[in-house]
Amino acid sequence: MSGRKKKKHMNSSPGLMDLNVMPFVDIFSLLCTFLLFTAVFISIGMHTVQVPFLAPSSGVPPNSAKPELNLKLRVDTSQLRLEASGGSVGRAGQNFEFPYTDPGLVDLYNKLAELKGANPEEEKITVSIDDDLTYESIIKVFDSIRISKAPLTVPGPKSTDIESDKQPKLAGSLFPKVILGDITP
Amino acid sequence: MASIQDDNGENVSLNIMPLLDIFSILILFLLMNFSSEPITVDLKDGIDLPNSTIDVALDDLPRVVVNTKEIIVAEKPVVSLDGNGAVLAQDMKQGAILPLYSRLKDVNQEMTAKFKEAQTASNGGIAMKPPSLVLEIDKSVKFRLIKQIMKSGQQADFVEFKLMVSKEIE
Repeated sequence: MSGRKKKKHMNSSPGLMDLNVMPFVDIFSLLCTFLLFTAVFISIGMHTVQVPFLAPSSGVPPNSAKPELNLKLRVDTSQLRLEASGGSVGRAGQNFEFPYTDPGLVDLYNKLAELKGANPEEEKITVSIDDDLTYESIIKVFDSIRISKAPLTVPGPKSTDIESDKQPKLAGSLFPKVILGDITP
Repeated sequence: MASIQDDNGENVSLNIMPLLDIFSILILFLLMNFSSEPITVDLKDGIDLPNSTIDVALDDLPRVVVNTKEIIVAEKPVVSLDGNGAVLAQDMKQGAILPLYSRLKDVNQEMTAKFKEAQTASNGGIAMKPPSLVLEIDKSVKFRLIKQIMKSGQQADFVEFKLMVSKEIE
């Protein structure tokens, strides 16, 4: 037996290997910094409105026996006044008044949902707004014309994917074509 | 595990695994946020948008920014407002704001020219949408001013206006 001894390379901790994670941390910190600067924390939405002279016609044929439903909503600082004529309401028309409060906006929405249920093909509503109303107040009214988070008191247009154990949801906007009646050409 | 050696030659270890956990979760969140909003908007100073329940996302259209001090079109101030947030009398003509109308007319002509180029490139495959304008308005602005702005846009052949709002978090 020779007296040679073989040198063995031994780690400080046999069976364990050190992993250098510092470059990993460097990349992560740079990536986080970049993404934080480009992140969007405010989600932006849009309400679309039109001006009168380009108001498209509704889906009702012009020679139909049933007259087109005309909806006019007048908004001032204390009151909402809905004038409806034609369609299921009849030529004589009806007027509805609601206070400009949160419950009033819910009542307005419910009335519009009722009218939409009786006239599903109608999509247009003309809105006249008081000059002293702020943009925030106007948007609240537009939200009521479209979708409201309040529960419906009357059934409205229902979505095709109704879940049996949940309240039926609206398929979309009640009257998506909002025309500002004050903007005359 | 990161480690350093102090003056006595002893190793001091720092457990950075929780840091990596936080970083990885934060990056996942920011990557999802980055990919879900294709169009980003930097709100101008002095603009506080009202909240809304609408879920329609923003389009890439010309923007008119309205705060309590001025009206800005395509990053350039066009009209200054007085202390009450109203347009000065010399800038008004026939119910519309004259400098704003001139600027919007130029913007509409640029948009029409770009559309015609795109239509030529696609051999007539693109249909022109109605000229639209995005309005970024502070929530305290009165409708009187908004009406004047829309009238100016209407005279510059813009027929559809998209009112920018901040989506409510449910």
